Amino acid sequence: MSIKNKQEEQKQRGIRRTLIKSLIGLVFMFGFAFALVPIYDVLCEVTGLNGRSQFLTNPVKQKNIDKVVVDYSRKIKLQFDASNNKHVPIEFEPNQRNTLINPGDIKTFTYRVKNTTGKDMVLQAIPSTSPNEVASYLRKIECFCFNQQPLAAGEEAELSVRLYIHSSLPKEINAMTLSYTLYDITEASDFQKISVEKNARENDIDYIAPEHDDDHEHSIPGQESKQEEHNDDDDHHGTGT
Amino acid sequence: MNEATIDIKTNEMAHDDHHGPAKGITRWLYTTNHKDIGTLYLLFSLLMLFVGGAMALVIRTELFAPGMQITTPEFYNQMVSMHGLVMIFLVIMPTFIGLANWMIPLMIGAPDMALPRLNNWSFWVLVIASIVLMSTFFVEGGAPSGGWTFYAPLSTEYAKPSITFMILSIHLLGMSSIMGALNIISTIFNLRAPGMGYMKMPLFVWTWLITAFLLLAVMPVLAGLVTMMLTDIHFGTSFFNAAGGGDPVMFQHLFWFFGHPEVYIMILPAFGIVSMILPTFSRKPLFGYDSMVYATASIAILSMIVWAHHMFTAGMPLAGEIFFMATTMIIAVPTGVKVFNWIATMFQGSITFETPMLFAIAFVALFTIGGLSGVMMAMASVDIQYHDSYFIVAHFHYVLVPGALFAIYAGVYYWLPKWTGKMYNETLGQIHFWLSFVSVNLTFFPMHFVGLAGMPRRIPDYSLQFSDFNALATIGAFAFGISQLIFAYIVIRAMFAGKPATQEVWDNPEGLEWTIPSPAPYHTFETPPEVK
Repeated sequence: MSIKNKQEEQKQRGIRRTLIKSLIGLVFMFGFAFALVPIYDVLCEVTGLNGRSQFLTNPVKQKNIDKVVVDYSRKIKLQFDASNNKHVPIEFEPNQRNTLINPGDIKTFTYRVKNTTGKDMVLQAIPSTSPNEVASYLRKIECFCFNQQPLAAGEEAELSVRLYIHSSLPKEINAMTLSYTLYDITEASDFQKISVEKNARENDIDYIAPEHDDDHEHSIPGQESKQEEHNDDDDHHGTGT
Repeated sequence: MNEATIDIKTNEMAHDDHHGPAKGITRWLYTTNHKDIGTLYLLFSLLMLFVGGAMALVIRTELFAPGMQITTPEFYNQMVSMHGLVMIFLVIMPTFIGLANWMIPLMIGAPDMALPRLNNWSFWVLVIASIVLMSTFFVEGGAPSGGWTFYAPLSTEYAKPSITFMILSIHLLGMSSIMGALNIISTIFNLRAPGMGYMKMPLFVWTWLITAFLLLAVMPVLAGLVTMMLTDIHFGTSFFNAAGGGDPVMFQHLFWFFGHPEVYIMILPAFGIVSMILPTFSRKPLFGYDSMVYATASIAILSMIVWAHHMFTAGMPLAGEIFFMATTMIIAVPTGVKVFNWIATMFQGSITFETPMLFAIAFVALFTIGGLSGVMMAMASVDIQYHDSYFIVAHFHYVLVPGALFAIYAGVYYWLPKWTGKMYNETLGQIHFWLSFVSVNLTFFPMHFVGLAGMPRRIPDYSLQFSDFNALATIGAFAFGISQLIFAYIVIRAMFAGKPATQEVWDNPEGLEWTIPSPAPYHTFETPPEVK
């Protein structure tokens, strides 16, 4: 009987060990599911998957703008596109459908937006590009998509984006589309607060820039500075290829 | 564990020896016996097979002719989504867990599963989950209708109230499957009879061990995914909402990270069953046992890295397309190894065609058709054409119906005499097979053609030129549905009447399960058998 007991004890101990190991694996995989969210963001950055890039949603640093050289040898056809998410009752369209632009040439483009409803709205534009891999070559100095946009009932406004195309753009690409999708985020936002912020930003009164304006280059350490160092040579360094 | 508790435990066990099953309903509510729980699982999924099948027939009736017949588009979408959820989570997966419960302890010479109370819980949680899922039909707005894949934003931003119930149900289903997997792993690792090394385990045990690991790896990801959906819907997070910095495409990545291994969870145990049956009726040992084990393991590992082949049309860099295309095609290699091993097992055997063998052979032939259309779709360039068409529907029904379901039928006919102690009616079994075989092909083969010609899936109406093939498919579906009533009759009849089965049942089958009397006593292998 005692031998049987011992065997039984060993079995129970084994089962317990297996169970603990499996449960650790289980918890790990549950955590992994959530870890996939930031991993996905990083992967999108690196591979240009889904046309996502920090350059689309964050401004370029001044010291990098100073180093920009215009490439007069070629012109890129830049097309503009606008769409409303979920049929938001807003008129939203680019003031120019397309343009020819030299890489490195800094230009400002505008979109017209009009609130056709009787209520104040807060809007957020989300940029994307086609083809996907040009996302990391399109550099923005200013963009209405960096901030939430307040739009009072019936108000019409002009939204601007100031950008250049990085001169390292692969030679085979000669056309690209910059697209904005407008989302209605009134419910999740605060119209008054956003309006005050916008006024402050435009009049430069004690305006403290939102954190991501300064911090974005830390999100992927070294990536931007490394890219900009190669500014002058023709190194093929695009992240999207 | 200290001495005292062990004494109590052994006393309890000794006590258990003196009586059989409890009487009445509480026997089934409180049971911790692996055979009882296996029976519960199997009967439950048989019931659900008819629930999911009824939904399929609603779909097929609607598609009998172009134009709207009996449903509204909204209700049709609910039928499509619920048919998928029911068949996957409430039919195929529970049946395999039921078979595992019944057979794994018998095959490895264990007295019961390692965690009997967890086992009981995992079954009853499944029942609760299924009630929650079915209740969505009575929620305002109806059942989930965004497909069984419940993509964002269809099922997040545009979620109707029932999606929240579906999320709860999926959490419970996931818990149930995970408990089942934990139990199976613990049992196989710790309760094998002396002398049964890993490379002596029957292939059904091997395939289930690997399946259980897949379950442990991906069910938590599904749980995480539906949790994100829940917070997106109710708590203002933006995991899948672009306006808040999220990304709906990430939903697809997370879903298929679970979803692709899931399809192997539904087929690996089927491989195991077929690998048990073919040798018995070919009267030859299985060809290439070792390679079968390694092939199963490599399929499982590869299945974790191929998920984005479901998303070729969602936008992906070229390198991604090439990677997922190549890895997907590589899966055809170990799968091919298995198919050729099965054929080699039958080669020059003295084969007899009892019902289990018929289903097993049909499995090998028809699963291969489904596998080959899978290789076609693995090609990123042509998948753009196949995507979301009836070709896909044909493909996954070929691997799941004449694939997984036929293997289940084969297994049930094979082991039914061991469970009930009575032989099933062989003539009826043969009729069931031939009706099913003809009608399953009549149902799903035409779908290849309409799919290639451009008929989209999940749409209740279609262009006129698809009419004839769809009418054929509907006729096949009804024939198939009615044939399954024969199966239910055969199984239920064998529970109560029929010729007594012998201990071995078949002609010299291999395995420990044939060394115990038929029907299998309530308690088996209290003293572990010696395996040479």
